[in-house]
Amino acid sequence: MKKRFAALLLASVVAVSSMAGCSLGQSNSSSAQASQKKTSSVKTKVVVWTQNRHDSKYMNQVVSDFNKSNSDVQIEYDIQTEDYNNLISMAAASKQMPDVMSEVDRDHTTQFANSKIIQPLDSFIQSDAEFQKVNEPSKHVYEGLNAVNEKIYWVPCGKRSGSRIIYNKEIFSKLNLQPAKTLDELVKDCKEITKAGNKKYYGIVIPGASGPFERWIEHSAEMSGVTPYDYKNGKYDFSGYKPFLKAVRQMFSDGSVFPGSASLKIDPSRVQFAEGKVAMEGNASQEATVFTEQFPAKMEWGVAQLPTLDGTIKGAESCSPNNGWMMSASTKDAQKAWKVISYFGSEKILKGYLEGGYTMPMSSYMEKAIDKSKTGRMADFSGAEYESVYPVAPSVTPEGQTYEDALWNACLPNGPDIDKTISQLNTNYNKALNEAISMGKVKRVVVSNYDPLHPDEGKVQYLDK
Amino acid sequence: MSKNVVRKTARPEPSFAQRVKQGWSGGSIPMWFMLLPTIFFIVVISIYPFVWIFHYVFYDYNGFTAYFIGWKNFTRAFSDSIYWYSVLHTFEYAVMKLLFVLPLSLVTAVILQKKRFGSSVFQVIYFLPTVISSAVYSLIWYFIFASYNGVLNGYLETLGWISQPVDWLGSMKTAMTSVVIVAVWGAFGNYMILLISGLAGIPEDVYESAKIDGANGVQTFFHITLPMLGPVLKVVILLAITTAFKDYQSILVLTNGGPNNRTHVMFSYIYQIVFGSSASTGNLQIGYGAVLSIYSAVIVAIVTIPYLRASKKMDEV
Repeated sequence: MKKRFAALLLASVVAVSSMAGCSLGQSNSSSAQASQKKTSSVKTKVVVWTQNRHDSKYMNQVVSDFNKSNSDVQIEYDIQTEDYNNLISMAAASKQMPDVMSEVDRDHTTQFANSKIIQPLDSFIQSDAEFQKVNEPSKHVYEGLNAVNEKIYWVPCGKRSGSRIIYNKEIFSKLNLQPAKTLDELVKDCKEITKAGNKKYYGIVIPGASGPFERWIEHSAEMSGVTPYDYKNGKYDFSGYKPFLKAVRQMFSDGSVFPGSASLKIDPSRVQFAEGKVAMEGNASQEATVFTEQFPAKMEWGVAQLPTLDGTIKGAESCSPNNGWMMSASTKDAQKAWKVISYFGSEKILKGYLEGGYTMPMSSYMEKAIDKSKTGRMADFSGAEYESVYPVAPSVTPEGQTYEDALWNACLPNGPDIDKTISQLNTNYNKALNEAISMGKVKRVVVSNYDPLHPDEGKVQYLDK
Repeated sequence: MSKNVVRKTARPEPSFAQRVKQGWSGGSIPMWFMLLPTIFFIVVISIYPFVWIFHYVFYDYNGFTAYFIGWKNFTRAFSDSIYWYSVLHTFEYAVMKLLFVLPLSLVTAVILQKKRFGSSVFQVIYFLPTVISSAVYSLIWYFIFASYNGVLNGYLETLGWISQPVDWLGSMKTAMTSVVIVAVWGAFGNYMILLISGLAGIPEDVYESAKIDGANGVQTFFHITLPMLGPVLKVVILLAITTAFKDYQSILVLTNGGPNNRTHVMFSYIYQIVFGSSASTGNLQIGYGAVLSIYSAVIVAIVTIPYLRASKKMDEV
């Protein structure tokens, strides 16, 4: 009897403790909240989530200064770098949304807006003249990117540049080479560098396990006038990618790509460049801080424009608007939440942010306001007149692989046939597009006066068929 | 008349308090109390999500908006070549893993079961991968397999076995072998410990009798050890089969299903469909992923149920 009683007691303890485990964090946090309430009883707490870790030192200081100087708002700033989009979705489902969130990608902006878990900022922007002056929001409305149904959900206060070729100046100078202007020259240079390197250094590194196609191949195609979406005819067309895939496959066949690139993640590939084991890496402006702070390069490095198909620029290179803030639809005090967004987008805060090299200026006002000599190597990536923001092509879920994965696989030495891959992608994407339109999920995007050099200047039409 | 008989023979209904007392003394109430935490977690973590996925099999669902599409998810799966290749890869991976992991764990269990100098140390070393997260040790193996300055290539080149570095994870010829090596390394210590506990349960006098009858080591192993290990071996094989068919975490870390989908197994592919890949985090296809999960569960069941039936003989020791 005693044994049975002991067993029952033990089982009850296990059961209760397992349930209690679920709520332990909650009780701790609620006690913490209670103590916080005592210290800041008059302040309204505004919870801010960001997925940016690279700027944490600067932003923590910004938040700390705000909290010290502000009498009615207390910012709680949380960095959430893991699975950020899903985290917001789950927070919305469990009614634990933060008040303010750093921007998400185009698909999620649209999803969040359509699901009404974030709210339009238009009315707040209109009543904030200073914010308008500094960030010029009316000039940066990109339907499907930061705006849905012509309502603004986040204002880009910065941008990431398009990709460049980042090259080892010492190797280039030793071999008397200049950065390649054409794709063929790039293939030839990589071969020559690898031969001269004699297994000590190689032509180029491509991080096969970390979005290899988007790093620079897609951007090189853009500058050659090739995009996945045919804006004039409103359909997907991957035919133009063939020479790019052939060129990369040739580099693999020549052995000019750093060994193991097919399975390399981004940071190990950056380390190889920083150590001088490869002569070239293709990537965007974030590399300015990577090669000065994260993995300081052990040699002199330069930044050059990406090569194009025939050496001339026939299309704009896409840059990525960023450093924007969204507001939760369920925030209890929208005015206070806007106060935080407005503060993050103020001239004083942005000046420090941009001069710290955390991103590049988006507005012409901030472009003029910052001291470019303080932006460090970020300056090497700025000022490209051939950059632009493309209209957002309709988002579809095709059968099979995404075009980024499929086109990269076709670059691999034993990869699938290039023509078949392109033909399959054209079929799958257009089938998915037609289905999505008929279901009312998306609209066909057509820009009848589309100019590849100025894709943001055309008249965008959204068709139901 | 018959009513009177019933009245005479029928016992009075036990009261609630009496029934509780009976349940308590009979052991059924403590049993349910002890099962309660497990039942709770099985319902919340396994049964509820499994029922939940059936809700979306007829929808194109991205986590927010669900569009009814009828049977399209079911028919689409039949023409999805990546999925069916991933099924083939799953079988390839599972067969290769089982082929090595079971004999290896059995041999090491037999060797290390006897108390010899250092046997406990080796037991701990071989068991360690079981308590380390597969994501962590896969990352270590990622660097061991590195093409340039990788540890494995370094040893092989020093031994003169290879002249060129091998791209273990990036080549379609070697990627699957590489992930299987990691899987075998990560799993055999766990099965070894289970088999050692099974070996410990075989009475010593059986071995002594065999020795008196003149049986040698090999005869003892095949006629005494293996048959008497039957019930434990049955569980170990079942665990090994189901785990081999469900493995995907280390594959995601090592190759992410690449190169060119060569190491995609069923569940790594489903994971990417449901949770997105590095290239596509926005286009989640939860409905289609749910259908593939059901198909995959059926495939795993088709493999394990015949095994369970066939393995009943192993209990007859």
